Amino acid sequence: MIRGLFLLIVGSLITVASAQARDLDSVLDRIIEAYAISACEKPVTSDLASLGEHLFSSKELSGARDISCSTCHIEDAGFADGLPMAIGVGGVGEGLARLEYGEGAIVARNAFTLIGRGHEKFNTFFWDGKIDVDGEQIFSPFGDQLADGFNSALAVAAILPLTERDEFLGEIGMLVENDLQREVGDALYQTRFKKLDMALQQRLEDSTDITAALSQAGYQASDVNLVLIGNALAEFIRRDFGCSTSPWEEFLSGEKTALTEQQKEGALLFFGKARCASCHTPPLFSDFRYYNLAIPQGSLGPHSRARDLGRAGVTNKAQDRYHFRTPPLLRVKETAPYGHNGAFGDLRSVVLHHANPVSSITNGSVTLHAKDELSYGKILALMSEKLSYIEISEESEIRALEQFLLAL
Amino acid sequence: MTFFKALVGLFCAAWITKEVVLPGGAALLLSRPYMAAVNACDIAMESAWYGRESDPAERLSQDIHLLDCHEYDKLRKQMLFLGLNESYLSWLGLRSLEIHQRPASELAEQHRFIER
Repeated sequence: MIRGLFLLIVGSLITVASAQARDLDSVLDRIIEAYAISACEKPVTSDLASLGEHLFSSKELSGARDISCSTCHIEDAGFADGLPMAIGVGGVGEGLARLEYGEGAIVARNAFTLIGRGHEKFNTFFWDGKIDVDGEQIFSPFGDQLADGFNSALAVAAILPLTERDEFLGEIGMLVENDLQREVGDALYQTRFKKLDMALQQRLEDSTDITAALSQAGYQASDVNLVLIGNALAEFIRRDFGCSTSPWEEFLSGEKTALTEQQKEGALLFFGKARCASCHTPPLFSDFRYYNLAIPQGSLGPHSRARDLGRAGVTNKAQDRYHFRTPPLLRVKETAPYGHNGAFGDLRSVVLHHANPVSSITNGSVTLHAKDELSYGKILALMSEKLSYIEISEESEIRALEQFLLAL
Repeated sequence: MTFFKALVGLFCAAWITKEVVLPGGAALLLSRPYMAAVNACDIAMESAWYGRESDPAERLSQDIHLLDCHEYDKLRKQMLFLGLNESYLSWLGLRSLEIHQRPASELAEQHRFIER
């Protein structure tokens, strides 16, 4: 009798305790429904992708034949380069080795990963969105000089680095010059496109390596131009980087155990309380809009006086100063450092910075450069309003968010 | 007679479970989660109030955040079902303000006459 009563009490307490357990899976199902998220479907691609893969690793596309796309988009660094800022022409090696070499032009922005770039919804490229699409219209720094025939904004984005002096062409110098540099000279973007197109055609027609790859894809040497190169690179990126593989993707495919309980808690915060998803919107975890997170400028930037004006560099609008496109978060754990200038070494510090940019500076996770000392207030004053809606109140929430980010 | 004894025993056990074990267990095990749920819902409602309604992305995040209030509501109903009464839950609600260290002015606010 006493044993029975004891069992009854224990059973009742277990029933009571289970009342507080939140069914995370069912809440997440609701979130997935609300955001209309589904597992990624791999795009169908053509044989042009093989040509693109070849071009991706070819140094023939760079002025001094010293760099290819694959130099700064390496698999071991999540198809970014693992550096705060990319090192372009004149550098040697890959990743950290490139930094240790100590030479080479610094491309004053963090190199982005390719993961997700091939997704059909990815339509705004680079930190400042300098390549963008509106309906059928592709906007780029080439303006109306851009040739017809590019099949997507991605294809235009893929050839943009080829036209940059610090990334591919080679910097203007007294002694070092190559055929591409000579042809392009000091031309601005609009005229640079046509000049480089002609110079590259001449060079690649003579390259046995490239002509062999062209012929394999069913093209002749005379067919090669920036449009074909762009379309081929884009097709390769669509084929290999259209979808991502991750615990989150597995979860979306119905594998409920792919995420840990803490990651599920993190997901709840991400989509709700912490407001992450209001900018890092699925499926690519970016809304492709522009925000100012009050990231200090640091010592380098692509604009005058080593500043980085962000989106304002494209639009010239005051309200766009220091605004950068929301970075997509697919496989974000592999793509450190973070931020447009690689100011954050790890995920934790970048999450904390969203919640409180001042403390990320006072605790030393981001360093203020001398030039920021008197100008950081201006950046803070222009911080995006959306950040004011973030609700993070406990350390456990930061940890859960961090864990969820590891699953993307 | 044995059947009668068993029936009485069963009745007593059921009564003890309903009146003592379940409410006592609920008070013991669910009070703190309930206070946390009160606080979470309070944050969700406040931030939805201050958030920008015209931004669809922000609005969607608010909706997801407000699910915290659904959880609070569910837990509250379960605690009532387990035999705890409204007064006890109201008292926990007040306690939740204390444990999250609201300033004295905020605690006192609800005791101030608005009109007399």
